[in-house]
Amino acid sequence: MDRLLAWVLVLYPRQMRRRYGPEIAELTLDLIRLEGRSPIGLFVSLAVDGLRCRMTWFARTRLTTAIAVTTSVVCMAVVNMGAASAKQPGPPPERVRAHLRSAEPEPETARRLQGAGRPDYLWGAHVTVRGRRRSVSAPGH
Amino acid sequence: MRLPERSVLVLTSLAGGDKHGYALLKDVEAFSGVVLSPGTLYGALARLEEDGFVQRLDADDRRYPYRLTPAGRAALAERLAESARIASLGLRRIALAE
Repeated sequence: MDRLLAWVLVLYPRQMRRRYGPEIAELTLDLIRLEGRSPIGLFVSLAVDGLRCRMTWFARTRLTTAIAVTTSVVCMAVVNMGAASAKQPGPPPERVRAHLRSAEPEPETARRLQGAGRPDYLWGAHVTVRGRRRSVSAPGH
Repeated sequence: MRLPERSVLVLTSLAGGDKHGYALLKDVEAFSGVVLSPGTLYGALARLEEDGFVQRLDADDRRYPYRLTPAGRAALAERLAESARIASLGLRRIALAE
């Protein structure tokens, strides 16, 4: 009978079997010995409960895993969005700044620079860079 | 979280004092007429212990007594108050219909 009981208890989830298995076995044997309950009926009931427990346990474990994965994905998305929004255009590199310092605006461009509040006023203006005449073009041109 | 019926029966039994599995089964059967199987009882106890509503005490022989925790007492009180409110409403409506 003990062997049959051990086989039936295998149907329970491992964690539950380890913690409560000896108690379930003891209680089942008590019910058979003290109350004269039918062993077959008890074993069938134990088996059904074991399968039900296993399904519940499995569903809860999967639900827990799904929640953990979803939370991780959401956290990573939030962190990435924060990092992307925190990216500001930094100052131009030293090479570009040196290039701009070397540019000498022509008189017309200088006048535009003094009165211009908008950068597009400069598009088409001419500057001299290292002795060579250049025109200021709009971005992308 | 709503407590299942079998958990309410187990908590109600433990509200009367610490008990091990066999005593719990007999007590539940005596006050409610419900005959729990060993698997059902320990399934409920496992969930209640995980939720912190019952506590397993040190074993005497191979039997572990279980005790209701303060959290379990509060959860049981809340659930019974809800049941009492529904029962009261139902009884009033039945009385009105007669």
